[in-house]
Amino acid sequence: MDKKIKVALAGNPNSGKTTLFNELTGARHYVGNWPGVTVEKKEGGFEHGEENILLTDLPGIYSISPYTMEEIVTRKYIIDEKPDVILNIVDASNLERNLYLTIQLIEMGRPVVIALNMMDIVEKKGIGIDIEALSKKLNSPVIPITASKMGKKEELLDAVVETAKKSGEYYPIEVDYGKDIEEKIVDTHNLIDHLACLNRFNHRWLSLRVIEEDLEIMNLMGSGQKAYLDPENSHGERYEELIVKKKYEFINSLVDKIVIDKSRDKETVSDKIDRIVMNKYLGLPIFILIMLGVFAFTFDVVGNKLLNLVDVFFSEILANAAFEWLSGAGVSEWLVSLVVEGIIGGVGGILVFLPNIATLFFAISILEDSGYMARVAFIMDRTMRRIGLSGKAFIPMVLGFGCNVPAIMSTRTLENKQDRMTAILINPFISCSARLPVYTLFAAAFFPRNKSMVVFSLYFIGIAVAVIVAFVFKRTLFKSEPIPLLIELPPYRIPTAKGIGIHVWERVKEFIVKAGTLIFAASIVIWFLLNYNMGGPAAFTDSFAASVGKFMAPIFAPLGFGNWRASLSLLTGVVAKEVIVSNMSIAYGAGAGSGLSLTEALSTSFTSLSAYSFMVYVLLYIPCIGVISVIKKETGSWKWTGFSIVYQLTLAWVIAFGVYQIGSFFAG
Amino acid sequence: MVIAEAKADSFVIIDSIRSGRNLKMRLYNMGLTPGVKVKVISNEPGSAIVISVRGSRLVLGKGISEKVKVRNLGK
Repeated sequence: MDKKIKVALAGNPNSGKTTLFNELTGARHYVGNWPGVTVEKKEGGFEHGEENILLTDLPGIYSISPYTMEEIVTRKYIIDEKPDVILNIVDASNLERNLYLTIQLIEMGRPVVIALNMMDIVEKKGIGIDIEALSKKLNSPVIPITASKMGKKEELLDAVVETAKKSGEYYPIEVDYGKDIEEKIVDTHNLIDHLACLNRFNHRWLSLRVIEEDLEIMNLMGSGQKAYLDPENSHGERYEELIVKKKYEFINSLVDKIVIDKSRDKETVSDKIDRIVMNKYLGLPIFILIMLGVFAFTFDVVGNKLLNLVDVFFSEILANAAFEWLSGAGVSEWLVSLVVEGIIGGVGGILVFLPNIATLFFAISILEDSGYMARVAFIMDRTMRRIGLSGKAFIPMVLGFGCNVPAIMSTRTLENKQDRMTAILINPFISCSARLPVYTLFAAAFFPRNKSMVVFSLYFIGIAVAVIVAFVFKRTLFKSEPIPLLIELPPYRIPTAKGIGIHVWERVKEFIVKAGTLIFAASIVIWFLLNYNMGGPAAFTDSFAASVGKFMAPIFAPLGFGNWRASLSLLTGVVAKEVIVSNMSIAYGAGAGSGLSLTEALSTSFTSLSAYSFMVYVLLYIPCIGVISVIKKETGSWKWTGFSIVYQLTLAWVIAFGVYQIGSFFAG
Repeated sequence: MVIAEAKADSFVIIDSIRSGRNLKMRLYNMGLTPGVKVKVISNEPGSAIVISVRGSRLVLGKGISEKVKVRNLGK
């Protein structure tokens, strides 16, 4: 079939939407980060029978009203893209609240197919749901599923295809809002019916939105329409509020008829766990222990053991094999050097950190998928309020340990602009996994006995700087009362291997692609700059790169690393922080054949104090290109993007200067 | 009384929400509408309050819980 069936996946946060998306799109899916205006959407294409289905994963929302960024994006997508079917995932263990969104989606007028998720939990609780009755009441197919163990995938997709084919005959159910509002709907409909620009909307839905004084929708109709409106009834009650109440009443009467046993206020296993992990005294210590556990797991237990294996592969086996094979084949000397020192040295120098990065993301996705992250917002709320932010602003900081790009995007969940700007601008201080190679390399070379302590101290400095800067920003640039915390605590779930696997694989793939493209290209460029000058081939110390490095070196002399190789690597590190290590392994001629390991070579130009100062500088200085562009995208302002670069460079210099000068004073 | 004053493990009925339109409607949409029965799961001084409403668990910070007027139903 030539035409694709467009399906939009919508549902509450924590309803299992992402799991279902991954299950449906399967191994063949292409997950592209949508260049969406505000909130990220994911798309995946796949075949079902003879049909091509294009599935779009929309952000998790509670309603279609325009009160959060996610809601606005979802609504805009459904209006503009007119999906053939909306696949609405509904958490059966939390039916009442989830159906509220379902009713709103149905009212928009596109055909809806309901995937009733978490049926296993519902059955375990001994709750019965009359699925057939629910389907009839909503005039939409309802397919019970368990997203983490998809047995009903075919049945669900059959329903989607069938609904898409019959979308012409679809009519949405109508909630009875009572005489008062129903009359208002008719009046409003008569007023707006003649507007041709509104034909793409369902008119009943549109009338409701107008009565609810939905400014976004009213703007579409042009000015002047507001004059018709009276947002309150004769008793002074707002229609908008009455409509929500009526919807919930409708759902209540529906749920009463189709669900047997509502045991919802009983203490659940999640509640029992929360009594401990959210306890006033235990909550914070438990969280700190978990984070220490994550780092110990990443660096000591798993990461570094694998790292050594990969390192041996690149710097010994692959480099030597390539050297012998190329030399044996009579390839000219410069090309052998480019391949062995430039490419294998540069790219391999970075790929050795793959195990660390994979384990870190593994640990972070467990925190995310289990439901613990929402508890972190609660636990940190008290502390964060002292800074002037809500506990929710702490989640991007935890995600930043992985990568600052998705972390900065996740600040979208913060409700006010001032908090969001602060959270964006402090996030680069949270040490991401790309900076880890630098620490690992230098800590191993200069602090072999206190490796973990040194690395941990850097993470700590990053957090401390972020906290202090946030404190200052919230009192100067972004003054506002902290927004009170409002967050749902999802029930705890055991993360599925597949969910974690996909998450880690996406990150690992990104890292490998980055190594194969950006770092690969940077390595070749650096190799040329290091081996040539205006007069042709040259020694490292007379090369282009050396001239640039020597030009910059005086800036870093007061920080203890005024040598050209360090300066050069900092400059190239703007591309990606990993390039600092690639650059050094090329510039110090490590990798293969030199006999001198990178660790040994480094000790010729750094002392342990200047090495520490260098690490502090790398931790705090300019964000990488990826982060700079996401800051631009999220703040929508070149001014703030420029500001973030300049203030970070300044702060990094000052702090590293302090570390080096004070350290030198005590060292004597 | 406001929900910020409710004891852990007690039940309350939402009376009204005294806040701006934006916050009020977000709470309504999450199921916190006047007339709904709510169970207070935890309420420690200095921390946000945790409640059970329509089968889900919500955390309300102080700035919110002091704006939600309720009637106490006791345990």
